Amino acid sequence: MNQSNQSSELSAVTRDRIMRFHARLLSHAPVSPIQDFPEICDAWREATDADWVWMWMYNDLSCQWELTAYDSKFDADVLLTEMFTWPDTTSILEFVHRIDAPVVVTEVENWQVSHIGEDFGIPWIEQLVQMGCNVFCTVPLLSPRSPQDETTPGIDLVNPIRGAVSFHYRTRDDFDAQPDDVLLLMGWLTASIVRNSYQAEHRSILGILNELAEKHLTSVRRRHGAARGEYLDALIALIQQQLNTRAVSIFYQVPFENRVECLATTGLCDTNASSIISKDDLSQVTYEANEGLIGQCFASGEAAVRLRNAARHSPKYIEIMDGAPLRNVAVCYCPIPKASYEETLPDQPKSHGVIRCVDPHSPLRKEVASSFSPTALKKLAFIARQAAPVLHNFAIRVQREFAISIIRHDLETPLNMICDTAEDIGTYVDSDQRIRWHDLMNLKTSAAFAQNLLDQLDPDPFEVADPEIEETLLEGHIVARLRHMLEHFAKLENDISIKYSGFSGSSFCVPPLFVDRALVERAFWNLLVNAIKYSNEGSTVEVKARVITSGIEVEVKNQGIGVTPEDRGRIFQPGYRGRSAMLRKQGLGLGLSIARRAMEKHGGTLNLTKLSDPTVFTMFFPQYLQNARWNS
Amino acid sequence: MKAKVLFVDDDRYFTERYVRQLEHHFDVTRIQYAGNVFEVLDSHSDFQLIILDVMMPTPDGIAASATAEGRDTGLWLLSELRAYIRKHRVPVILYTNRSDTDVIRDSVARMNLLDDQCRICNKRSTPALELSQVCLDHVATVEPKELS
Repeated sequence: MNQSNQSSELSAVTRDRIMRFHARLLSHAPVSPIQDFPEICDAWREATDADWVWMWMYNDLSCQWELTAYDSKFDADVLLTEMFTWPDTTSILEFVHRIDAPVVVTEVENWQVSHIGEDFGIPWIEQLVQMGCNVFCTVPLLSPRSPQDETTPGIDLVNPIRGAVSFHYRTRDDFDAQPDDVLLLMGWLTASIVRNSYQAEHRSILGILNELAEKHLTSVRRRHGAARGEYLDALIALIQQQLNTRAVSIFYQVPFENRVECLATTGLCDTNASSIISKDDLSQVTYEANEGLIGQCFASGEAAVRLRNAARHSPKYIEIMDGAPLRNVAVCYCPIPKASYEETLPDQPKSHGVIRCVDPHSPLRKEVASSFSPTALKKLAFIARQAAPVLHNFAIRVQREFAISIIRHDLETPLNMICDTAEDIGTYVDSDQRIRWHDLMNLKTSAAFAQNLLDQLDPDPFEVADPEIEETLLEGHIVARLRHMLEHFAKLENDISIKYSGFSGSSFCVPPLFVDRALVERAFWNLLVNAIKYSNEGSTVEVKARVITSGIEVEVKNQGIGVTPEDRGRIFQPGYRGRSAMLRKQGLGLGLSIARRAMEKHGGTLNLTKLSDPTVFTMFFPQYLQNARWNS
Repeated sequence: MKAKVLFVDDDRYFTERYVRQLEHHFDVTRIQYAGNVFEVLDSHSDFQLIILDVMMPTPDGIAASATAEGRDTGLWLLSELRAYIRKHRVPVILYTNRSDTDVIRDSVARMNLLDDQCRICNKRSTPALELSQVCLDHVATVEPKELS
């Protein structure tokens, strides 16, 4: 095994070639790896007068080095197909992985295993012999690593470049050894050009993505879902084209849930039933966080690849092409990242979604590739990062459109009741000279519902700068005001009765509190309306107050659908609704969060103290609220 | 004998007055949960009118996207009942708070029901006092019969 020359005088010819190499690369305007890398290989071929030049890049996810490009004179169609089958590109793992200096191998045919004291071989050495290679030199492409590179998971977009260029000679005499430092300098320049090439390609993709976003985000649709669908179709087409991949699926987070659903796909089938999933059923294609590779990518925010024929890879759903499932193919999972400003709690997924690409085609050999190339992976990570805010925007729009439709409905409903009741009254008030109690309560209750809905649209009660503190009797001012309306509603909604206790009439009656009545009333209303809506028909809702050492507790108890243990931790989250509640009523999911914030504004609390049988919510008013000056 | 009407709406309190008015002319069966409709129709096939709210919670087991997260549950239900409705020639009224009745009309048109079999009424423009007459007229249009 020969080493490269450490130092020698360069011949004039060699010096001239190397200077032309530098001039050529420095004046090269990068466009994209697929165009630039062969150009780089050409420059190396000219500088080294080699018979052919290859460029290798390290694949961060599949942990393998891959032949990424060759010079324009290399007859790939002949040499890579007719003479032998090019092995899976894991072949050069050991050899190139270790180099940080140029390595020359001479007498390739007789080359024996031994290098740097360790046993390893060059697995593709036979192919080189068949190609007639006698000498080759491999030069690393090195670029500085920053401290963050070691800790940043996932696909590194441009830094550092981990690659190598190898130039090959058929005849030993043609090989003109050059000093290491000269070759390393050429390698460093090449690494810089490679980085610029990635960035140039990403810039052009960015232009396309920005155009797509502009077109679909601003388009006016009655149902924006159509705009989102068109954006997703265009995004999938872009990914297919850029990555040379046959099938793509995009998964995105279900709002407020730790699972993803399929938003768009080139085609999916259920691996168990082998039935093709129709577009209308796509939302049933879901993965929980950490379930399968989709779920793991979603939860961890880390990309992954599975190579062809990898064992134990059996997803719930697989992509199809021409009606046939794509099994045993190379698959890549790329996370759709969250925005850097988004807070992620420890038990929440690290990303908003996943892009899954399947069955890539090699740009070098025009056949199915065993894996995704390093350039393809960098492109995919870039596309995912750029598409993330657009998809997030669409998700917010979906939620907003849903909220608006609920608000319209919830406002229209009581207003219609007010109108209808007024019309009813109009039919008899002249003759009866009075308004019936039932109609009066309908008017009051409907107005209260409409007002409460408007209150729900207010900002967080906690953001109210100066609450209007006044002396308040919980029973006299709050319960008394709401009582008849709530009882009227409860009776007609579910034949529910409401029982109040502990507020007065005992030796421990509830003392006056200095609170913002509107906020406290809002909390009471939200809790009691919830209790009524989700109670079993004919049951009783109990509201019980009691004085304790530290303050006053008010419990609201009901027998009804209850709260599941899974929902317990999230039930106060704005917008979140438990599954059983969603089956019973539509809503915005803001009632409990607003009620809690209203209590917290006073330094109090609202907690779910029992899940079911009965469900119990407990409000706590601290003792200092009995002091008129507590807020000063 | 009064004609039988199936009234499907998840809101019990706010629809009390509609039912009260309907009960002057019809024998009303109320359903709050859309998922129960199929069971009721299986055991009672003599409804002469079905009134469906549009915005209702998505029934258990149905994908949220099938009902546009509950905004189109009534439309989904109508689509699922197409065969029954056509077979028994049951008139249907979609009785909704939604203002985009043109969108609803387009959806209904794609369901291939009999001509004029489904009528779309907005709760604001067809208040409770008028609902009964609208129902009587619609039933007469689709299936001319003597109704009490």
